[in-house]
Amino acid sequence: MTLIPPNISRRSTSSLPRFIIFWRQVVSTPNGAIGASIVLVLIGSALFAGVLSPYSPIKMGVGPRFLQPGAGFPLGTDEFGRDMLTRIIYGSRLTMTVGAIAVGISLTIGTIIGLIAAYLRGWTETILMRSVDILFSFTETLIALACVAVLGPSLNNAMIAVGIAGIPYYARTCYSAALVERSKPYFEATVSAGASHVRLIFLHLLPNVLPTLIVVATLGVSSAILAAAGLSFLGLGAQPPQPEWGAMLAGARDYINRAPWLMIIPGLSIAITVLGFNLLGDAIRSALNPREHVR
Amino acid sequence: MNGSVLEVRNLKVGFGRKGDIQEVVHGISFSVNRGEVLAIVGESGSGKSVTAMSLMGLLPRGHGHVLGGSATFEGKDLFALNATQLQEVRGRQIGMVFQEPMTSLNPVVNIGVQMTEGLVAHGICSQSEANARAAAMLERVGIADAKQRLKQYPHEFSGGMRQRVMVAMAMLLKPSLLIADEPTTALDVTIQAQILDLLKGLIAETGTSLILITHDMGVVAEIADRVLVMQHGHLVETATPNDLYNAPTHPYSRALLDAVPRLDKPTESARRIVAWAQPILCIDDIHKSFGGRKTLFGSTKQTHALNGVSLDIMTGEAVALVGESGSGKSTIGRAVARLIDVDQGRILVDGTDISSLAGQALRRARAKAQMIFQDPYSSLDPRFTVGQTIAEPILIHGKVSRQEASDEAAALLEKVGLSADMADRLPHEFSGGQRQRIAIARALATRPSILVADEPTSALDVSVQAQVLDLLAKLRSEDNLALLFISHDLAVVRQISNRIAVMRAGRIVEIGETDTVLVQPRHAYTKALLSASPTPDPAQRGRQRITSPDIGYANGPLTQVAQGHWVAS
Repeated sequence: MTLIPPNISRRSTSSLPRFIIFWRQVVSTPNGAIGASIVLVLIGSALFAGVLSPYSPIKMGVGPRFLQPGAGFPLGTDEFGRDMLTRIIYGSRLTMTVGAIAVGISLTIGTIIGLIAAYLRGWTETILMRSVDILFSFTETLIALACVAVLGPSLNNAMIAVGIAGIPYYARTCYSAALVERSKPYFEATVSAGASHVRLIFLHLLPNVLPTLIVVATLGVSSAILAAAGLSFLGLGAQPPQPEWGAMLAGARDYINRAPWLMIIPGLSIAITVLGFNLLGDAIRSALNPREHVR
Repeated sequence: MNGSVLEVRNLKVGFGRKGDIQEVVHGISFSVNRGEVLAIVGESGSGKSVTAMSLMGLLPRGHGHVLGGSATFEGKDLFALNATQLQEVRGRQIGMVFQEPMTSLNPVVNIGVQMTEGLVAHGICSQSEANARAAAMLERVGIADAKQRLKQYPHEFSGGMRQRVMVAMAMLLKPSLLIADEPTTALDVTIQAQILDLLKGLIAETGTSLILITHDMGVVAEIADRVLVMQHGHLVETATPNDLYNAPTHPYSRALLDAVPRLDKPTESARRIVAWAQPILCIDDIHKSFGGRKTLFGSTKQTHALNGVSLDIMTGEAVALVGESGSGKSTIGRAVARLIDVDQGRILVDGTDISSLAGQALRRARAKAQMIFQDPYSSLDPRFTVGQTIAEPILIHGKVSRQEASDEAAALLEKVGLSADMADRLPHEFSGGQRQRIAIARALATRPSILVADEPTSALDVSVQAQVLDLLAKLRSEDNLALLFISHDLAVVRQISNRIAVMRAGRIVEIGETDTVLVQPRHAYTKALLSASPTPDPAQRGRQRITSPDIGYANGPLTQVAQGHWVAS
């Protein structure tokens, strides 16, 4: 009937795994490359803190007090004569743990709420999403403060508090992404094939909302780190002598004129970490959005 | 040529980043004469839209590039103009009408402001005179109460009305050339006929030239003075409609014309007399309304999508539901696949009332009726290989191992005309037509007795559409499958169905054998639909068309007018 040959596969596939192709795309922009390097350095220093740092982070008097940055102690020493470089390196371990666990809590619970609400609709949806709206109407810090007030001040409780405070954000993002997916024909075709709830939610909905959630989570790590550092600064998170950057900032307040580096160094560390995760998150977002490749 | 408005010479356009540019339009030349309607036809990817965009300077910045050639418009080379000069030409001397009337108007600005913006911005006249001119132009394009309408916002207009506004807006600046990119593709046939008549009238009055970009050979036959046929970025044929339709010279033009389903010539494929055994699908007086939900703040507005529809389909029979958007035809399809619940009535699939089941029993019963959707791009889960997609229903329903399921999926792929080794690929590696084949294979995987196909070919090119229709016909005769085929295109329906049910406003207004309904339509609405359908034959251009709908069609109960032919009274 027709002389026109059918269109054979439009794009040849590379032999590389999809993840590697994707990763190359992320680091191909300057922003993505900078963000990825910062995050990789942080992960490295968190994993190998024991090997990298010359001293113990809490041992006092390894050098003179208030030594300016220079030879021997590259970042100087603090009011107890502890090595600042060591404390910053060990601090990265705490910071990364806080970021991962807090985001892990909000992401897991938020995703479950969002998926269930979008899948079941009806009353479940109303109850779940209206509760999320109520949580949303309080600022994150207020919720975190309330949680710490109940649980008591410690770094672990600060992680949980920041994690709970982040739930509404992830729940809503997941909910709206899942609503879009469930209205697509492939989802309806699977319903029509007689698939079970579990199959529909975990094999079709979840994998298709995951890319969106990964972007949100990467960007969310930085705000979780900031929130936890804030709690520690207020004395509600990490307690001395833990080398947490927010707590170090708080401790350095009294010596701001005498030893400004005690404040500048942890402050810069927090800023660079936040910047790194934001740049990486943005790069992942553009790599996932095919429309932006055109530019 | 003497009276030419636009001369395009050896135009080359490419896409991609600098250093990695792929040429998609390979040096085409044509001219547009004053007052002429030039149609550019071709399938998706032929470069017809890209050609138009390059003329308007609308190629995506940094990604689309004019690689060579010239376009002389009224003595000026369009590609040599700077941004300000181009702006002067665009809108004022070259007008544009796009495909999507829904998104080409700014939703937060009223029509009057949008229409007069150009006049005032180009410094042609004052605001008050611009308003008067806009009102007059709206009247001209057939919008009554123009003065009042100017104060309204786009959402207060229907799709067809918006397209009229777009045409009025473009014509207001008295351009010497109008470029219309698929201006009627998103519209119902009766509305499409109105817009085509409008364009024809305006061109005759003003002497404006029109470049009409379309994939629809019927539209071309209705309106064009000259036709350019494009394929893969090459111009393969230039001809008058009469020459093209009667004696196409290029093999591609011939193939393209052959693939167009014809309303005026019966085709053989569906004419298979089956001794009807028993109904496989019984739709019994179903009602469905949307909205009307009680909320905390009162109840929402209720619309009746289905208003007492009954229909039986026999084993192996193909029944087509036709009608315009909003007639409720898709709602029936979705109800049969139980993707929505009906308010009232029963739907028996193979003797089981699917509308009252729940849980495990429903999941088992769903296998009997499977659905094929319009959009081949979102019909497949982007994260599943096509093998997994097709094997999934087999795993759900049969007690089989993964290996057996994927063997069966491979067999189904071959059955729908693809090769078994494509099973490991992901959907994005396939073309639209191939994806539609995969969707059909998935629908077959549950061994259904009826397929519901909701506009399965309207997103496809005409040659691919012909292949998919052939495939459906083949499967029907091989497996004795019943088919509920939902479409707005009467010519397609003629090719595939045994019976036709014409729907309007949630009711069936006429039902009968395909040939009977199309050749001797009894209901006024069926007649209107038939006369409005574009015919790919320039000889029929002058025929009388009924293009004013809503004149109080009969929509009472169906009465039999002949054996098996029922019409609303």
